[in-house]
Amino acid sequence: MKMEDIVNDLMATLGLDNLQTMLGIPDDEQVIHLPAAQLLTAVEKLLELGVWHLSAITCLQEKCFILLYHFWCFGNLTLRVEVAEGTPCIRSVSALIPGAEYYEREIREMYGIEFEGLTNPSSLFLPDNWHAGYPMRTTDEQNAVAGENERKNGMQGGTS
Amino acid sequence: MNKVVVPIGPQHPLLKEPMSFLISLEGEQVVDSVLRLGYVHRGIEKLAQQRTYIQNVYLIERICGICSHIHTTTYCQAVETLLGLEVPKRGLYIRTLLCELERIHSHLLWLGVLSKNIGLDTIFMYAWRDREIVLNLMEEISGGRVSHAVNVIGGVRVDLDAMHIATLQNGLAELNDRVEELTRSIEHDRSFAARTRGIGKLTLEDVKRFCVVGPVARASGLNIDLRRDAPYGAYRDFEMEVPIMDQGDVWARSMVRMYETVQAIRLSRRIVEALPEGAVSVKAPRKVPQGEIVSRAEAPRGEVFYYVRSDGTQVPARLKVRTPTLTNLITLSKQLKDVQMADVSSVIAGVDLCIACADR
Amino acid sequence: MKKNSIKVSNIVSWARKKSPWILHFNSGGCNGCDIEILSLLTPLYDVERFGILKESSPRHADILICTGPVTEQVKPRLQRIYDQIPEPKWVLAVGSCSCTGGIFSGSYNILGGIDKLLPVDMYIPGCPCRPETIIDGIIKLVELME
Repeated sequence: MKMEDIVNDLMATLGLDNLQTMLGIPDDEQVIHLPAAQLLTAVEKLLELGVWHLSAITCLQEKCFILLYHFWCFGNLTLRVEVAEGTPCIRSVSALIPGAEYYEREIREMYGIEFEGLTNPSSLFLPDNWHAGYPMRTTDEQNAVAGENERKNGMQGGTS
Repeated sequence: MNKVVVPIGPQHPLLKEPMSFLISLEGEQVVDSVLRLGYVHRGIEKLAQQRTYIQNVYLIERICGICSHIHTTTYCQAVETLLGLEVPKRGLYIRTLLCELERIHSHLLWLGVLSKNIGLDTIFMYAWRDREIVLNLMEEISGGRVSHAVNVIGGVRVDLDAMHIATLQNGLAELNDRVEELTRSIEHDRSFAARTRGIGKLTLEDVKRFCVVGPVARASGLNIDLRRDAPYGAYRDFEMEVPIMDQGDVWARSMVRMYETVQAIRLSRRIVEALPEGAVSVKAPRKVPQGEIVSRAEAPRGEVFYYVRSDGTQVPARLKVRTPTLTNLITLSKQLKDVQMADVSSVIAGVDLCIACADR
Repeated sequence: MKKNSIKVSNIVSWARKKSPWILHFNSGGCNGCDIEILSLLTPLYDVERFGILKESSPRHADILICTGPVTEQVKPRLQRIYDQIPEPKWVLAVGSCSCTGGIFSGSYNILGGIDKLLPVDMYIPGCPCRPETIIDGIIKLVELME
């Protein structure tokens, strides 16, 4: 099936209407915004439609956490899910796509988002004795300091 | 029978990079294995948020020393698209030429490592001796054997003159003969087959469930190669054959990689012959407009994935890197199950691990 | 008795200088310097003509060749490997990462240089180092082995 038809089919099944495009190489990405509750249904439907390759799960932190599930099937497709700050928690897709396990474990230790149903939640990259919080999280304070440094240093950019 | 746990790594003659396996054996058969990563985790994604886009080109090159050029290619093409730049054709061809030369060097490196692991030291010596031809060619073009620093945002920083082209053509012709001879001898060699056939099997079903990429997937029958199916750079102008096998064991992976090396040499010669005239780069502004982009490329080990998010400043807001080895590592437990202890070295080398890429 | 003991120790020093066995360990580097170190064993550079053998066990080695900016996870293992190498031992830091942390300095997970953990005898800078530079460094270290 062509990616256009897959996207239309998926959105019709789930009753979604929020579709945007994002730049991609070689073609643009189709980005479907969906609520966290519908994530597993969407992934099941995608597997039915023959889209099984999950390239990566990206985590962003803005006012809340945003998870981007990047799929590829001779065309690009991204599912965008928002997770509230506070005690961030979302269902794991590793039961449907076992290849997602490492991506979820990485997000768990870098950002602190809990994945319900993840069978092996142990540390992946960080050392066993790591106690310094979640490295990739940004706080408002950190943002302010980083912004000051960029404005002051310009070319240098790096930190000590 | 009693279970014995054998630790392999982080320091072990089999492993070129630190990683830790705990292999549980019953007699001589592996029943379970646990993998511990993180020994090479340098926090590249966090570092990238503290450096400008231009400084990140040098940082990203050092995610991995073996596939450094493909990382910078994927990153630079993402930033160039965000900036709305069009890289001149000559620049794209030179970039792609180096991608293919890097593929040749990476596969010959892997062949040497696999042979050393299974005890056939002669193939290691021959493969790495022939690899020196490719390293010399890359040094002629860029000035560096392993780290080339050829990519800049906007194109490439080197140009090829008539002497470079003559050296490339001679070098590639010599390499072609050597690699074809190596491929023929490995294809029919009974010792190599005895150590690699029938072990570390992955079916097509497993490949799809675990989202495996690269030669490991193609050796199990998956007919996907991003250079042909989602072409980037100069690949749009060339047709290519993609070697596929369906046995799914270490032998099939070896043959896929050897045929890919032969294909890469042919493709490099075609790129050199068809090199168009013109500039090699365009000037790129320092500030990248707001936006986000996803970029994929076919590294020697499979699909490499980049996500870049820009907030309108000189420093990226988010850089996400997913390397092919991370995807393939999930299958290692399954591959090692029911394998004899003596074949563990073959399975580990057959996946062509690059832990520096996986851990970042 | 005194004459005999001086002769034996001379022979031991001479043998050690003529055959420095190395142990290679990657403490979190990008692999660039490591493949250049492996290239030393190949026909083009061939360090075996200097008597250098790449050993697998720390107990058999004289020189520890270390690359990479020591990551937190690898730190205890690197210390253990160093302790396992019998005296006299030397440490060679190959590559800019292992000298000072290189391009990764500032990261949350690295120490930044092997000399923060072990006493280093020779620094070989480069990113990555060329095999000729590494051979030069090893030969200079062997000359210092008096």
